Amino acid sequence: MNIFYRLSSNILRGPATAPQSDGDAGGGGSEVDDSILVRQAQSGDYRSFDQLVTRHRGKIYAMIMNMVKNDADAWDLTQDAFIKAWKALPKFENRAKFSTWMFRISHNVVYDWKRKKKIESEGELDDNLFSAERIDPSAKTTPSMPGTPDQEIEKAELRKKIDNALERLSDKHREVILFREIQGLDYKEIAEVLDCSIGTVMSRLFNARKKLQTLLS
Amino acid sequence: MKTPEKEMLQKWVNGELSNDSQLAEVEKWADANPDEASRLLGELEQGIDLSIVDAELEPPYPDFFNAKLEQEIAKLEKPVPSTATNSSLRESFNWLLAPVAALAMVGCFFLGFQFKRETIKPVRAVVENLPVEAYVYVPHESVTVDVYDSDTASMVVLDGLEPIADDDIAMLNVSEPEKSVRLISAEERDIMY
Repeated sequence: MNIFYRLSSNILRGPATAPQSDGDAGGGGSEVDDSILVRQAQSGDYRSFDQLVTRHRGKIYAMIMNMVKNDADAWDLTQDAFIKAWKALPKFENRAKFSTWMFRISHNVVYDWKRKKKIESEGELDDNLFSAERIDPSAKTTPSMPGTPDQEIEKAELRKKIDNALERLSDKHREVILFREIQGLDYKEIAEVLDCSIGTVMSRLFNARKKLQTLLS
Repeated sequence: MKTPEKEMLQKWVNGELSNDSQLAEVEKWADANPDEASRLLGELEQGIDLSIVDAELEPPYPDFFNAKLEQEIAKLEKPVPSTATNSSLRESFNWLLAPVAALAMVGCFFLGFQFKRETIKPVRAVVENLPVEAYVYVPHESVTVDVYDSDTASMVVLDGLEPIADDDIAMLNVSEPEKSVRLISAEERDIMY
């Protein structure tokens, strides 16, 4: 990879090669497909990578946020995930969707972080013991939901109930539920992200749903 | 491998498939036919309604997120001086190293007698002279930033801010608490610099 080209594209930041857009690019309309942006980024065009970041940061941040439940940690881990993606970009073969690949990277980043945190905090007081009320309905990360005050309260309560239920699932169960129910990934994609068989995804999802239903009922 | 009956699949999706052999059969089939399994099971499942949980959530200060990421990646990309390409040229001059080193030693010895020892620069001064990359992030597009460095101070000028009441201004010089910090206007800056 030509380092100088990549650096100069960083600095000069020439005109955009594609319009800014949110969400997944399906290749239709004026939206540039992810795979095109990936190829441009692979050839050293940081501008294209920046567009991919803008397009996918919301999904990745939401996924990580749902796993770690902390704004600042989620922000840093999302940064780590994209830095790792940039480093690994030359090896990305464009066979999987960029978003699936990013989910896989963020899965690894979160698990590495949790493992490290667990080692560091062994023997320390667990902050989570005092965190039952830590999801603030007025926090920036809580979606703004215009409606009557009663509806707002009802939704906030429901959100809290779901968050608590999700939090009581194991990391593996929570993750598979989030990928399937929230991110809408299919079984094959989840298996790719988690690097396991579809059968494992199915049984994990089955157990996770069962537990979640019990917790929510 | 034969696709399991829809009824069996539906039972599995609903968590009602208690027979171990049937469960194993479904999972085996799914592993062998990932695309078909993914499609069929996706159609059959009635997911738990978690629509209230965010599938997408912009990180706080999203433009800063991109800017910081770019900065971190630029740090990674800083070219490291290459030694490999120049190695053959350098090797050809290896024979000169010994005489040059000997001459340099003699020269240093001679100079040591000729000149008075200079005062050693204080460590603090050395540290202060290290180049520091200033990076100022301003979330408001209407605000422009200028950074001025001099020998004695670094100044960050923000133009376009709303006026701040005197009572709201907190001034603190972290690096040198004994020195005061003063907010100045852009006009005053033009006169000073």
